[in-house]
Amino acid sequence: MSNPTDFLDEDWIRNELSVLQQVPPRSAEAESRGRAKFQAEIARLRQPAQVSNQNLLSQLDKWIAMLFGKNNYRALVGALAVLLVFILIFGSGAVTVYAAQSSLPDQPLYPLKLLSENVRLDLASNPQAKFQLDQEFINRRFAEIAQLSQNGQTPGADLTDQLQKDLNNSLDNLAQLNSSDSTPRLQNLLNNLQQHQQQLAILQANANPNAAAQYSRVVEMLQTRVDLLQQGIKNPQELHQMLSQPHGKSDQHNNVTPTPAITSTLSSNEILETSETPADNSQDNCPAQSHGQGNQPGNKNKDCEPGAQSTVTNGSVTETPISPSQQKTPNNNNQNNGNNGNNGNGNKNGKGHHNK
Amino acid sequence: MDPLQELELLRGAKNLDPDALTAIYDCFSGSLYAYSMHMLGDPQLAEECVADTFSRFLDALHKGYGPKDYLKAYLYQVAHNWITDHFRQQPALTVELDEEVPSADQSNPQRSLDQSYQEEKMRSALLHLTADQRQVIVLRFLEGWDSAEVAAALNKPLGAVKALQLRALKSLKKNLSPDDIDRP
Repeated sequence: MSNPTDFLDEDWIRNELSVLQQVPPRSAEAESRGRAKFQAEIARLRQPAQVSNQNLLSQLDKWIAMLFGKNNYRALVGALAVLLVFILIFGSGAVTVYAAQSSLPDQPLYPLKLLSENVRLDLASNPQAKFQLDQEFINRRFAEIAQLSQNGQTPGADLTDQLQKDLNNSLDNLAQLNSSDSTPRLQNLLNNLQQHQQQLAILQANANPNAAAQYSRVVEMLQTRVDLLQQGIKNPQELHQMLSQPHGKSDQHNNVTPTPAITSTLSSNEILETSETPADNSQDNCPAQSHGQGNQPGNKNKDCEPGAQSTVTNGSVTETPISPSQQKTPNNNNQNNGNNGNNGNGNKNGKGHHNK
Repeated sequence: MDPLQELELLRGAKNLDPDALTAIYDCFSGSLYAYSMHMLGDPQLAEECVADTFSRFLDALHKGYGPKDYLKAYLYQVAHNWITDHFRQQPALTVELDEEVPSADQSNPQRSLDQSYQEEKMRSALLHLTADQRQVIVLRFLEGWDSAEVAAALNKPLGAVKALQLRALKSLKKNLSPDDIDRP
């Protein structure tokens, strides 16, 4: 045994440990067995992994746990579930709106179609884009009319009212463009409306009397705008000035005097018949005279029967009531309209009827 | 094995190259067995320790882990952990003289008995050290490593290894003193 005083000496510990230095020789059989086992394990690991679906899932779990940590795993799964619910809700909503685009006025999704059109109009950033959308929506209305006709149905008042609204919107937005921008668009709109007029004439010719009356009303509505646009092409500045008039201001105040040609064109097409309105409706049921008010939503023409009188207000052509005597004597419309527009101001040119 | 050759084998091992892995086994299994025998004193346990050490090494390589550079130090560290775990699972250590201790030298039973007694006494003293202290002593004075290699194997600074060695020697001195020989 070594000297206890040398316990810190490294030689002492080497000497103490020397009893362990002698190791019995390793069994050759055990060594070769261990080597063979090690090589078999190498071969097993080198085999291509047979990945089953279950293994894939467990691998996915491992990766998620590795990426986000085991503690965040449950939170991640919860977040994915919420995301899935949102996708289902908004995705199905988007599909519904998409499906509504091909709906017809008598179908449940049609209000959604009109709503989506209003949203698109509200989101449009400039008058040019709005005018482009108006044209698209006008074309949609005529496509709906044609589709209804193919189905043996007659376009109702709601559809014609919506068409009138779209037409007026297009003129409103046209008024906000400058002359150089508006002139080519004016011509495009005119061509477009004339094409629709021709198609409507064909439908009208092949329709039953009740449907023909409806088509006739639409044709006349279109004719009013066509005449206005034709006059505008002849005198764009005048039309632009007239359409740009702010609501509620009289022509006299703004010193705008429409040309006699435009006035006569409008006056000759002011009466739009509405077949749905009972003939005995009194003028008392009509809302306040819409001079300067534009075409208000919900201002149904049936409230203004038996006749309706068109006025141009900030680009909108609205139908205003006329007296039974006026209806009986349509030839006096021009004069009556002129008197209405005079409002005692002595404007004998009839410009007051445009309420500009 | 020189460091360059060791790095070359390690590169092959990371790709699960059978030749490289077999070369590593052939190179280190003998010394690992000896190391295990020093610590365990049982051939079967030593074989088991060597087999598990290489198995864990393969598993680590397969999962993309394993040693980055010090292959030898890594293997000894794995074996050391295996031995430490083995003793943790054992009941309280007692040093007893087994009258039926097998001996290679049957011609001199008294000498074999003394040899076994000294071995068990030394192992008992080593097992009273902490795991790190024990590994420093065994690697430094049984396996003949220098302090830097031990520091790499333990992944500790050189100064920490020297401090471990100093405390281990003090503890061994105390445990191996004549008055404490029979103390468990």
